[in-house]
Order: sequence, then structure tokens, then C-alpha cells
Amino acid sequence: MLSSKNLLLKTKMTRRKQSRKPVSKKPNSIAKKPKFESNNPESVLPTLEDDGYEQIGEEGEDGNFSLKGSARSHSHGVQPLGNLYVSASSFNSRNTGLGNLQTLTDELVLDILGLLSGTHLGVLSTVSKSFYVFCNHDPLWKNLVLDTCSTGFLYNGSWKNTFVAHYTNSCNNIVSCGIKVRDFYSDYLFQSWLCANLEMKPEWVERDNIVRKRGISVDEFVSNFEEHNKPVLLEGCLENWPAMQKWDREYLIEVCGDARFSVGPLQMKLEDYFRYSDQVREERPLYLFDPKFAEKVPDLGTDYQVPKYFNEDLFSVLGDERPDYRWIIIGPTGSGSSFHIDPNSTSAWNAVIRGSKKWVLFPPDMVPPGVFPSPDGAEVACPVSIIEWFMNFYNATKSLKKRPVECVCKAGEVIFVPNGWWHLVINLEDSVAITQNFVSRRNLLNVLDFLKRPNASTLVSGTKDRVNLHDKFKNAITESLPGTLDELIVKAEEKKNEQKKLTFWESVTDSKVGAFRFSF
Amino acid sequence: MASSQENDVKKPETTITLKDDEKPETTITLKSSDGEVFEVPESAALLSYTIKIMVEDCRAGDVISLEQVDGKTLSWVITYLKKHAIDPFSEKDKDEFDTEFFSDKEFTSVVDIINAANYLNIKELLHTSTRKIADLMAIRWNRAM
Repeated sequence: MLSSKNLLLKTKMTRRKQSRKPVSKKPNSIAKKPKFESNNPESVLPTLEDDGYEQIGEEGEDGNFSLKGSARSHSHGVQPLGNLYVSASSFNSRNTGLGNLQTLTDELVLDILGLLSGTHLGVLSTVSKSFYVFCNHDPLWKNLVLDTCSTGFLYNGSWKNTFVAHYTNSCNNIVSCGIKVRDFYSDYLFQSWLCANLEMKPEWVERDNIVRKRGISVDEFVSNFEEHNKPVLLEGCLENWPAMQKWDREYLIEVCGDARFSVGPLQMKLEDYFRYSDQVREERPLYLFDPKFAEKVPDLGTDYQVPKYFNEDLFSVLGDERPDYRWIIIGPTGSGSSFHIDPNSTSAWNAVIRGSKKWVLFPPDMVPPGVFPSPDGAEVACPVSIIEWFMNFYNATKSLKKRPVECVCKAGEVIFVPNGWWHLVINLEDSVAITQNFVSRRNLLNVLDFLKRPNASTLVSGTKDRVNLHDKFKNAITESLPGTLDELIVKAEEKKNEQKKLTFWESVTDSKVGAFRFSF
Repeated sequence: MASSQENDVKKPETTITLKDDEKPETTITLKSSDGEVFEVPESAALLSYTIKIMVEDCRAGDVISLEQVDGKTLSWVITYLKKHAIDPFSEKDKDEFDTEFFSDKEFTSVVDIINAANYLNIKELLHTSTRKIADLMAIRWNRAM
């Protein structure tokens, strides 16, 4: 996890009260949070206001962060390391409580705890305050649930409660009161809580510089956007989708019945997923992302149709052997996808049916700040959560010569993501969307090149037959659309030659390069 | 004199080609935080991604200073790296070696190895040592319970 420069003493805060008033959980509200000011130089963390709102600000930055409406303070009282350096004593109960493990970083401690069974984790949490805090780090229990509950889970307020209920076969609601520990400082654990409870700042959301079009023809789309590999937001394409009218929660639950959908590594019923997404408060909420939704529930497939701009779908020549190409995406606020490039060099469209999504896109030749792809592109290192990227790297985009394309895609709108573009998406509210990846003639040669790469077995996705996909696809295209491939290759050659020619003539007419000059 | 006569006659040059496994392997000099110096075969040293980067940034023959690893721990790590650099090294042999490697190490020593493996960016060692600590912790409770 990348460290955050934000985790220092916040001089605009008041001193954290030692005896805390318990805060009742409030339903999510979108009300504006009061700004928070104090000139106390010894300020540390935010205090809990009586109305349950907290604010965390940053000196020198452009405003305060706000926590989600029903956020409580860290349930165990964890403070960031920066506070330790200005506290009266330099005692960190984290260290004494970890015993022989105290020299390890927080990440390493959690790596070790991640190898323990639920029982051992539970027992270990009774050993010391420090182990109590570490062992109650909910993501540990999330992994235990995901590893052991292959048929799905019934979320019970927290991952720990969910695991315990599953393990003990108990349906009782277990309420965790959360013991607060004092003098426990840890950047990692604090950051994790912070990212789980932070709201998107308005300035992260408000920039919207994408080109928006309504009612354009397919030719216009192809020649102005697809051929130039430029993103565009299309309005008014979903008006005749039955999904726009029908897809509310009750309908979806009814029509999906007992069908199970992909949620992370599991398959679960839609109703059970909603139970989770309604309650969850975490850094990286799971979202439902299923490539076989129309096969599992045919009604869902008939409630939408591919917008006319994207009708050319060349992978369809492979029939049933085509890679995964369409997904339903359902997720709560804060869920989404950090920076990535879509697989197989395909382009994509993403249509929001309910809710709204914030998009940030970078062109293929510009790696976004905070993102570090491996040389072969197979792996990408980036901040753990999307909020963390916004906290630490969004501001860096302001000083770039070419700023990224950004937008908020609302219900009824479709975004076109050209092939090779880096993109990040975050749900600003509970959202339901459909997305498809596709190959058209504009992109066919790129895709074939990609599939031909020597490391195809690691890079190619959505199919079990990675190594042979290139040959299969090429043969199928040649058979179903004879002459197409050759035509495209010829065109591409012509284009290359045109570009070479231009360069030559440019050099001849460039007076700086040419040696010959008239002089009188 | 004999030597000057010899010098007048040019001897034909002979070249000796060593087979791959006879060539002396390049060594890299590592220095621990407490000043201990180790000569390590390159193939072993480069299993550490950190060392690999440091080597790329310096000249041949430079001493690589590892500020965060003490001599005792570094010598263990080097033993591990030398063994794991052997090619081929079967999974079974690896497991056997790893088990033996940790069998005589105390809890605190394994923690030191974890820190070293993390700093030196040796994925396999980090994985095995964290697994070992988790196992040791589990054993303690099973005994206690």
C-alpha cells in the first residue's frame, strides 16, 4: 500500500477528546457537513461532533475531507503515526503489544495474520490491545469469508460477524461493541479506515471535460471518435431500453430468483448481494460482475440492446468460443475499478442504468500518476483503493500538460472507452450498469497483434484457450468475412506510407534542416 | 642467455576454453549493517530484487551496503539464496531444504529473516518465512489449548 503524505497532524482540528461520547449510527445523508476550524496548535485528530459528523482536513491543501454521514471514528481508536510525534508521550501501544513482531511493518504483521485460521485469529485478538486491533482488521475476516464460503455469504454488519455467524451456523445478530484502545498509532490501519469512510471530494467529481454527443449517426461516431481512438459520452441511446424503466431492486430480485452471480471469487444470489452492498463500509467494496448474466437470466438479456454505434462485434465469429464480452455490474458507492487497460486490446462501452459513475481516462501512451505497470504489462501496481488514488494523486493530474479526460456518467448515458486507454471508475452511488467489450474493423489489426504476443498466455483474458485464440480468431474472420483482413492490412500499409511521405516532405520544406538558402 | 634466446622465438599462442560450469562465477560483495562482508555468487545475490537494482546502479567491484540487515541474518539469507540459485532445483528438494533451514531458528530469528526478505525483496523467502511464523504461532496456541 502506498503511503499517504496526508497522514500528519491536522493543525486545523481540535484536540481529540479522551472520553468519547458514543455515536449512534446514522443513515447515509447527503447533507453538507459543517466546516471545522480551530487554531489550537496542538490539535490532533478530529473530534466527534454531537451530530456524529467528523472532518479531516489538510493544511495547505484546498479544503477539507468529509467522512460519510454515518461514519464513526475508528472503531478501535487507531490514530495515524503523525500524531505520535506530537503527542506528549512517545508511547505507542502498537509496539509493546506486538511483542516479538513489533519490528515488522503493519503490512507484514497483517500478511502473517492473513495466514491464520479464524479460530487462531480470534484467540490472538485476546492477547493484547495491539493484537486486538490488528486481529479485528476487517479485511482479514473478509479474506476468510471469501476463502471458505464458496456458495456465498449472508453479510452481518462486518466481515468478522459474517464469518463467525457462518462458522457457528448462527443467525443471531452479533453486535460488536468495539473496544477503544489508547495510544495506538498506525498509518496503515488508520489509512484503511479513512479510505473506507471518506466521501469523494466535490473537486474530484466536478471536472467534466469529455465530449458529449446526442443523436449522432454511426458514421459520425466512427469517423470522429472510433477511428481516432477518442473517448466520447453518448446521450439518449438508452431511451428505448426496457431496463431503464424496469430495473428497480424489486424487479431484479424477482427476475433473478435463485440465480447466482459472480461477486469477487464467489457466486451468490442477487438478494444476498444487496444485503451486503446495503451494509458495507469498506475500502474496496465487492461488486457484482458477471459475464454470463444473460445466459443465467434471459430476461436481463432482452431488457437491453447494444447501441447502434457498437453493432460491429467481430469476436462474434467465434460463436460460443468467444472470450467473455459482456458484463452486468452492480455495486455500492465507493466500489469500482482502479486504473487498468481493458484486456485483449478491445474497446468498450459502458451504459449506466441506475446510479452514476465518475470516470478518469488517460490515453494509451500516458501512464497515470501513481500507477506502475510491469515492463510486460502483465501486472500493474497502484494504490490499494480508488479513494486513495484520489487523495494522493488526483492533484498531480492538474499540472500535467495533457490533462486526463474526466466525466460523470449518469443513468441513461453511455461512455465509449477506446482500446488501450487507461481508465478508473468509481460509483458515486448505488449503481447498475451493463458493459461490453468489442472489436470492430477499426481495431481488428491491433487485437490480432495483441493476441499474437509471446506472452499471450498471461495477458489474454476472458477465455480458457489463451494460446490459440489468435489463430482461431484469424481463421474465423478469414472464413466469415473473406477479404476483410487483407483490405485492412493494405489500408494500414497505405496509412504508414502516407505518414512516411509527410515526414520526408516536411524535412525538405523545413528551412532549418535544408542547407540551401538563397542569399542576395 | 637462455631467456633472451627464448624471447627471440615467438611462441604460438594457445587459447584455453573453459566449459560453462568451470568458469569462475562473478561474485558480488555484500556488507551488512554491522560491517560484516560477504562474497556471494552473482546468481544467488540477484535473486534479491533490491540487490539487483543496487548492482545496476553501481560499478563492478563495488561493495553493496545493506543497511537494514545485520551480519547474522544476512549470512542465513545468503545460505538460502545460494541453495535456491542452484539450477535445477526441484520443488521437493526446495521444500526439504526450507524445512531444515527454519528448523533450528528461533522465533525472533525468523522475524529478522522476514524483515530481511522484505527489505531485500526476495519473494519466495518472504513467503516461506511468514508461513513459518504463522505455523509457530499456531503451534504455541494448540499447545496452550
